[in-house]
Amino acid sequence: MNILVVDDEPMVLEETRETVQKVCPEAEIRAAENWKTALELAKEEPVDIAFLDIEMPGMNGLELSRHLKERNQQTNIIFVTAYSEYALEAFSLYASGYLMKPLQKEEVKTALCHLRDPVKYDEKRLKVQCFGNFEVFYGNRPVPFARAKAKEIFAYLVDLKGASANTGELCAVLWEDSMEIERNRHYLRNLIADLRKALHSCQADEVFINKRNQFAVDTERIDCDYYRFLKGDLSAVNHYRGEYMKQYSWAEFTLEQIRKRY
Amino acid sequence: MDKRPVSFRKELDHVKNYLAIEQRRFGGRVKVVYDIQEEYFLMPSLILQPVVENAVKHGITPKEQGGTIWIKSGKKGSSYYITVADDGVGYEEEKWKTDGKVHIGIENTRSRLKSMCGGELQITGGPGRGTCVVIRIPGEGQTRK
Repeated sequence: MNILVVDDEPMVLEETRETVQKVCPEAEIRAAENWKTALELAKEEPVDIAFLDIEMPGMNGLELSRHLKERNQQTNIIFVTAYSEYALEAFSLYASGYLMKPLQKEEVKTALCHLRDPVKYDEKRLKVQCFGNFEVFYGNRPVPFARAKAKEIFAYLVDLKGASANTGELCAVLWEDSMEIERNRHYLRNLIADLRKALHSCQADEVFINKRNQFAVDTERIDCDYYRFLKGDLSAVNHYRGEYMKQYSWAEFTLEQIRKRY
Repeated sequence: MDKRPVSFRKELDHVKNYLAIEQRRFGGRVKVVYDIQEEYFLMPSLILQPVVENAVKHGITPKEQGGTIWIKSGKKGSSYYITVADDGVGYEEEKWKTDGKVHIGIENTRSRLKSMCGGELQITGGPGRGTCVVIRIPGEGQTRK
């Protein structure tokens, strides 16, 4: 979830940011001291919820909300102000909330429960392509895996369709018959950290499930052509050209099964 | 309200505290320059404060890049002068008559100044030119310190 906080008073801005972060610890919150920065940030990434001060120089919060809505109709606007006189106008702009300063945690919670355009928490941010080469996209950009083997781990877990693998299994997959078990296990830990970091940079931390020595992906949180193929989704079926994760030799086993099925 | 005059120095202390708070609120957007030549003279209370508040509220903070407030005091002839100037957005006198809001602050200050010590308040400026308020306090009737 992407939240934008705008207030021309730096201390109030920080306070608002902190309060909102406490209510939504998982959200990415960006703060702007003026309308220009706010619009730049909104251009970089779509805003799910915007907390806007109203009395600001240059362009006030009401006007700013119109611009944000123009850019992204789904943006929810919550006004945060010391004055009640703008309430009527705020509602004519289809605001999701009108909160008085100082911001209270409870009020933020209530406002978030009454958004006009509820944010889809389980939105599938990651697009996983298994047919042809294995690739993972966030938006239109590839997910930045620091090392190829971190990506391979992810590919292997996708291949498991939500079932888990343990350290031993992952080592066996990555290094096949290498005997340097201790060294490999150590390296694997670094790769797992890489994988987490890459997912974190796409706000997709929850895709990766790790319980004790068990690793898995949450299949509900990724949009994967192979999974859609298995469900009989036609566009995915058409996407299949007889190749599956072709950079990984272990994937041939699954490819065999797909061929039989096809 | 207490009718007794207070020392300018005390009023200035209050104003300094007030401005320190506003500077914290608005970061670098509110700048203040003091040029105090005279501080030991008497004046009616709560004259300086509303003028400075106006400069912050209606002059500087509505301006995106912020601005500077100059506060000066001095003596000329037998009168003391306090100047509060800002390079903010400036005011439009025409707008005051038509915007439907009550513009009581400056008028009230002016009439209290007049009735309490025979002083005057003058405003100059305009849209885009900032605002300058000069307060004149007659020197006659000032007890020492």
